[in-house]
Amino acid sequence: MQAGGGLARRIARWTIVIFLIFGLIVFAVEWMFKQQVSQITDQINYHLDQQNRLQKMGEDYRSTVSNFRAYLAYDRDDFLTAARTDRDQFRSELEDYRARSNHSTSMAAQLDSLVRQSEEYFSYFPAIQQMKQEDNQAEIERLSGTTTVLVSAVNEEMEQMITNERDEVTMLMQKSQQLNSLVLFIPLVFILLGLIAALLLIRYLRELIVKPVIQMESAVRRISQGEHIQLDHRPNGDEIGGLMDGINHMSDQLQERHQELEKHLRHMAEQHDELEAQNEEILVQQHEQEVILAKLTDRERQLQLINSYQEKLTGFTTMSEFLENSLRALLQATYHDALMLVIQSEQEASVFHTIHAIGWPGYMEQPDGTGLFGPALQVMEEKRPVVRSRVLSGEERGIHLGYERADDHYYPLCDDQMRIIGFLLLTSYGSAAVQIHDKMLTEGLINQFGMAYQAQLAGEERLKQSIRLEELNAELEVEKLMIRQQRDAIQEIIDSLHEGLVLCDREGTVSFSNEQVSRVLPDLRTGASIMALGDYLDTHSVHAENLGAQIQQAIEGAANDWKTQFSLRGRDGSVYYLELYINTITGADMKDYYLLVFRDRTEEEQADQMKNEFVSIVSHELRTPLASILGFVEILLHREVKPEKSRKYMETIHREANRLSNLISDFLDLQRMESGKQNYTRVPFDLRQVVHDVARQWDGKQEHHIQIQLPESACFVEGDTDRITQVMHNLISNAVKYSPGQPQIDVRIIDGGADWIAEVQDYGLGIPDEARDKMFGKFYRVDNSDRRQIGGTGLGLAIVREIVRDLGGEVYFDSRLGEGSTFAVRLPKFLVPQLDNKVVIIEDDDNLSGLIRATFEEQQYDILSLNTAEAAILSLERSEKPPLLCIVDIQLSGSRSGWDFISILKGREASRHVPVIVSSALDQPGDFAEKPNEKYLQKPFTVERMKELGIALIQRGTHTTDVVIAGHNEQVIQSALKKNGLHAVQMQVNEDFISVDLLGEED
Amino acid sequence: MSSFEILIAEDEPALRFLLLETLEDEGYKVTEAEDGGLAKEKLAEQSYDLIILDYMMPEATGIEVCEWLRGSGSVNEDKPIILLTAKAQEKDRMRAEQAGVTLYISKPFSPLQLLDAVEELLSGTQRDN
Repeated sequence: MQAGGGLARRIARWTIVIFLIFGLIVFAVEWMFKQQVSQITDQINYHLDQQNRLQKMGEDYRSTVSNFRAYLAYDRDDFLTAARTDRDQFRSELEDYRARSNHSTSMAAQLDSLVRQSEEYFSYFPAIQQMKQEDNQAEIERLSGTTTVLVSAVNEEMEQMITNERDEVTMLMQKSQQLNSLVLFIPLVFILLGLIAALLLIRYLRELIVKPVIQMESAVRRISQGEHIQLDHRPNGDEIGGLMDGINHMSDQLQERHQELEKHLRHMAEQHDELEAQNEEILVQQHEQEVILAKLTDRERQLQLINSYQEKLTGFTTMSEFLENSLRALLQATYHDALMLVIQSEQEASVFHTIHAIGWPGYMEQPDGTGLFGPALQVMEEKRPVVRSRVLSGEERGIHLGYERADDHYYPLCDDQMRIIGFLLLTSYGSAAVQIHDKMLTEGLINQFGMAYQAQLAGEERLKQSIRLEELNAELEVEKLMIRQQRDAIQEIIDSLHEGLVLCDREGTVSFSNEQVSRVLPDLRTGASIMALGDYLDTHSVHAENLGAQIQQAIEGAANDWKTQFSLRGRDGSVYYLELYINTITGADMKDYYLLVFRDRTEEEQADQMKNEFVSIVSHELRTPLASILGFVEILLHREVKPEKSRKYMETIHREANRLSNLISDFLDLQRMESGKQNYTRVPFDLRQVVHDVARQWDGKQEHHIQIQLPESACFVEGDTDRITQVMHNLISNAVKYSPGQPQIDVRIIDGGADWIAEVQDYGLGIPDEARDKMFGKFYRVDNSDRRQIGGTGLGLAIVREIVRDLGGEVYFDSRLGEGSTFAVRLPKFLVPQLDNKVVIIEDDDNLSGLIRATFEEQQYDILSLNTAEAAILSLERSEKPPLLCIVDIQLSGSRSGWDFISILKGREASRHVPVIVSSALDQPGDFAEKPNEKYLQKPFTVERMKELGIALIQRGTHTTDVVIAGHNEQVIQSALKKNGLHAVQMQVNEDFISVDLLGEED
Repeated sequence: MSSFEILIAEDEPALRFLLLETLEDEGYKVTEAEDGGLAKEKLAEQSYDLIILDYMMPEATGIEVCEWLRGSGSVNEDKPIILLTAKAQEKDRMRAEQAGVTLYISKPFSPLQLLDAVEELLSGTQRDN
């Protein structure tokens, strides 16, 4: 490594130095040229200045000359003065020029000559002036020749000098141009030189650094692969050289280290061989020890096996688990190969079962139930172990390969009373395995097994019994639950019965009663005597009927189908109507029980009473007029009666017959209304009209005067005019009837906000307080002889109430006894809808109306649905603008038809053009007359078609007066129109409809 | 012609008229009462040979009038009473008998038969005065 900076720094330094020198040279050259150029520019400026001065001098000189000559010519002093001034100026300029001049000697000589000659010329001035003053013209003439020469000489001299100066400038300009071109060229040369220098530097660097680095990289890689490398030495001592040397050094060191390691390895191998020899020796010793140890642990192992066997004699829940575990452990502990447990059947001594077998080929497990023979029989009989050596069977050989013989050891098994119960067969293949001293041990172990087997057998039995018990218990629980549920259900059924139930035995001891009983009767606890009930019944029954004794008799078997009805004052004081019957039931204990059933027939009784009462009233009401009629008729038939009397009788008969007739029709009306079978038509109408008409009818009757007070404008309500008329009739007739001697009756309509209220006020008898609640009841008449004279059916107000209720209103009254009564009927106002620019559907079938409505609503039209022609006509009359389109059903629920509406619509100027679709079929089938109902069902257009037609009609504009009617038979439609008083101006038959231009009724 | 006096109590004007006509034609002297209350008043005032009562009347029913009369100690206490009724149920007839009605006639009735019955009831009696 060299002192004074590395290679990189050196390269950097040198590069900087070179570029500095290079830059300096460029700068210096550039500066030099710049200097020269400015020098030349200065010179040019100088020469241009001088040239200018010379020209000025020339002008001044010439001016001097011309002024002086002018002086001479005109002899005016002002010219002389100007000449003098110009001369002085020339002189000073000349002096200035000479001072600035640095010209060559030739130029200096030239200048000197100029000065001399000009001064010479000026020197003549005073003389000439003198001469002028002396007016020596001749002398002046003479001298003028000399001066003229001088003047031209000076001029020439000056011209010469200007030319000189100009040449100098031209020369300098050329020089400057050359220099400028040089200044442009030189930098180019330097840039080229710089590029060449940079290229050379890169070449040098590549040679110096990159190549050695690549060389070193490959060297290092090879070293890492284990090669020994020697790189060329670099003469100059730079870093690369150093690095190369370093690599070389490293390579050398590695070589050395490797050799050392190899040497070390060889040494290690030698040591290893030595150790191995020692190890082998130790292994031999260890093996010897293990053999000794094995001999020692063999015994211990057997003890362990025995121990494990003994553990497995207890603690198993099932027999099969016990046998599998304990016998397998026994086999291991006694070093046998196969085992078989055979147990004598408990039922039959000659039958034996193989309970368990281990290590035997399947088929060799002795079939169940066979008798014993050979050693097996021997062991059973002798009750001591039997050993038998035998040759292996073929199948056994298949399992226990390599053995020829087997030893079968039969050990007897005894129970706790030393009775033999079976035997255990242990087999070992290769007889040497079992040693003599183990025989005692084996016998001991087998005895233990025998006892454990007994214990397990007993345990198993207990287990079975406990499982059985649990099962039985669960079954019982289920049954108990079911019984409980059944009992609850039965209890619920019994409690929900309307009948009260009491169960007792022959001795009259109550064993059961349900809730219903305690509602009417005192609590009958289980164990109470039925006689207590009998006593209670006797003391509380409304009519003393000796019920206790009757029950007693029934129970004693006197009457089986005994049944009685009685009424009982209940604990709440009200009367209960009860029926009691007794059923005999045979109980599970074969004894007779008596079920007392109390049936509550209070409601039944009440209904019965009401029915009877009603029948009685109706019968009374009907019979009374009938009695008069029949009586008089009989007299007339069987007696001679004077004519005037006869007439009186007839009048009575007539009146009473009328009464009967009214009664019957009122009664039937009310019956129909109450059963909801009354059909009301709902049309809007002016209540004033109805009230007025009815009141007029009564005015003057029975000397009564009816005062009518009605609002100015119409009072529209919706309802059935006939029925409202009936209401008004009933109210006014009551007013007339119950105000004898008080002829004034007021009838009026009051605006009640949302309702119209029709009032009928009389000043008659009035209604007593106790009658108020019954006023609207059936057949009720205030019970008073004054009133009896008045007559009436007693149904009028009941009918009024039914009608008003059905039409959504209410009826009420206000009265003071002796002062009169006011009855009022309140009916909701009918708000007349506006038809303005709407699609109006006049259809009494709400479903169909809704369908059409929905279809047109899709098209964003305003829709108005109306049920009756009356409502439509009213709306038409009260709307400002006509509707857009009318869809009209002909048959409507009111008394007026669709034709009525169409006629009015077409008769009004404002609505004449409104298009109409008739939605009913007019072109009816032949049997139409016999099937009037179908008329309502047949709609000739589908809703969709109706929509199409409707939109087309609306869009056709306002000039049309079309009515569109389904069908294609002109005559049929013509006659239908005629029948309804309509006249078709024009008819046009289309595919499925006829378009008619109608003339309506004029207003 | 005897001039027996008969009281009729009937609230229905048409029937009262029928009774009046029927009896007067036969020469009976008839007094009318328009309800049970008025009937009692008349019975308290004067003696009659026969009393005809309607069952259903305001103020007091025919039965009530009958019951009242039978225990009243008045001059009319033991006079024959005919009860006219539109209630034709057996129960009503029993009540009438218990109340002391002499004859029970259900409506509608034959005026001629009624006359026969009246004649028969009065046949055994002589006009007091």
